[in-house]
Amino acid sequence: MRPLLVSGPDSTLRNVYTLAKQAFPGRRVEMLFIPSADYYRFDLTGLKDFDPQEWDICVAVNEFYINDVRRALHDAVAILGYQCASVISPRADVDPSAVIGANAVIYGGCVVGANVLIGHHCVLRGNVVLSEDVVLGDYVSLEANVAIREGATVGSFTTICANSSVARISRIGQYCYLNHQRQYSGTIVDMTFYSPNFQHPIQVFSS
Amino acid sequence: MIEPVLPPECYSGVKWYDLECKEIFGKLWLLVGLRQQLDTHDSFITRQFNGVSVLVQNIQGELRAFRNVCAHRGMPIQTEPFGVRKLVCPYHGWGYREDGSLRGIANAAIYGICDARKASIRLHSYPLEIIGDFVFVNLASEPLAITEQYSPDMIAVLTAVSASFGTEVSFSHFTCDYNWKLNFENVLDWNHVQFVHPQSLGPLLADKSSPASYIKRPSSLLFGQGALLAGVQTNGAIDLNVPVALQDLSIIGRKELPYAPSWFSGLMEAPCDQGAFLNCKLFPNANFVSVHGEQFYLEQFVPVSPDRIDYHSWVFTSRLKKDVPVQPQLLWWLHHSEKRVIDEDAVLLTALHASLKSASCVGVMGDHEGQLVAMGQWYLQRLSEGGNQ
Repeated sequence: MRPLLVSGPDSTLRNVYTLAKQAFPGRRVEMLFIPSADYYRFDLTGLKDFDPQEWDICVAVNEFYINDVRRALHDAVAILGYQCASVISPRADVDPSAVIGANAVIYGGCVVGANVLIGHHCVLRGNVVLSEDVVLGDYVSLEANVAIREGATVGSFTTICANSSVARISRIGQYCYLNHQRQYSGTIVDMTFYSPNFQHPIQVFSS
Repeated sequence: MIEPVLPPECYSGVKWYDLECKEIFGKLWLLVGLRQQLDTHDSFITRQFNGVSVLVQNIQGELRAFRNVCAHRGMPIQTEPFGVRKLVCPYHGWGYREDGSLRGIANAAIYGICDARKASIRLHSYPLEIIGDFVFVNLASEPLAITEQYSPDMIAVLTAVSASFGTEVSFSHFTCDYNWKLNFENVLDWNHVQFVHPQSLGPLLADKSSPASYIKRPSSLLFGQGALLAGVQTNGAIDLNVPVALQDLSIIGRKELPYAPSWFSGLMEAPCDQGAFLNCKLFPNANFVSVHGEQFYLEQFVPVSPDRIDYHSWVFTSRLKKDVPVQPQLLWWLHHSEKRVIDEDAVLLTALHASLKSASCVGVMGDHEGQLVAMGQWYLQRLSEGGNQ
């Protein structure tokens, strides 16, 4: 197994590095902090010591800017030729029929049910439960204890806050930030933000 | 020193509110929203003004304003604040044409309505005006010209600045427990910023020496030498010794600011007014702000009772460069920053509103508060004329 480099610009890095050590006890795992300015400008010079022909990479970035900073860092390292690898806790219960994309980070206590599809670059914090036939897009972040019921779909770049649930067969759009602890159901259109600071959801409309 | 003109009871009295609904919100042009919400066929906005549901809908590229009430049973034709949906009542499927006439009735045979009666059925329509990307309606059957309400300079600014607006807009609304006039007066009152917003808006507007990294004289595409708006008068003083005209209540303010690019500046095509804070106070109840021509804030204080407003808030940016993807995270970051400023005001305005309920008079005002007094003078004049009719 190729050695794994866990790299990122924030303190998520240490969490994922620790998780990777647990997930791959026999694998060489290193950690690299990537300095950044204004969130989006990354100093990648530290990567010169890690040949992309030899090393896999796991990009560890929090959900900041609804996962767009993670997208930006991934795009930057992909250009350099790195292959992304997922890090899945040995204490997660993943059904064999589930399909998990590259660069996923799945913490302990998660349950991933039958026929679940998880896109690339998703983060499932502790104790997330995905029931059967759930579909997640790319760059989805599910905070601790989120439960998504049967057949629900969650669009790319969406974040759901801790202790929330999504009712069965619900459709959550892309670029949504569901930041009220509650049960969500039905259809939530793209670019909807449930924020504790606002009485009603904030919606981005586009002409 | 200036003596205040508005009595405290006008901020909470039902009689005053009823007169305002009739003489101000029933007769002046009211902001509905932005063209970005109405750019596609069947896109619509619904608003509540004076207890009336108003619908603005794009029909084959034309914007039309109607009372949002089906001619059949009175059901709202559109039930969401905005969206894309045909002009068809959701209750029994009555459809309407662009002029508000009846297009057709689902299961028409069961109604037994003759053709002549059908031909007379139509939605109540309202006058609509568009200035740049700003869409206005008027509830009056014979409205004043919008040029009586907004000066040529104001119309020129709104039109010119709209040309650089991006296509994505973040929108939300929320209730605040104070009178709408307090919010418009707050917009006119620049002196509160340093006290109420010392860590949010205040630092942006403070007179300070620029750090070395700042660009001292960024070029404004609108207000620079020889530019489109170079002749527009901003920050005009008001003469309280002559009768106040309606146009005088809407004010263009502009203040030069030190400019340093933000992380998102490079995403934008051509910000129109770098190095400036531009503010269009749109009487009776809207306020538009441009920060460096990169960030835009539009807010509206819609009265729903003497003690409550429905606060509408739009946040958007200058047009993004081609191939730059949609940036909802940027809009939401800006919108949360804006909400912090709004909340700082709302806490105090709620307290002020409560305090005015038991006050016998409003205190003393300063020379710099002439715009508030002008608004008060015009308000009293308009309501007294309306009350005597």
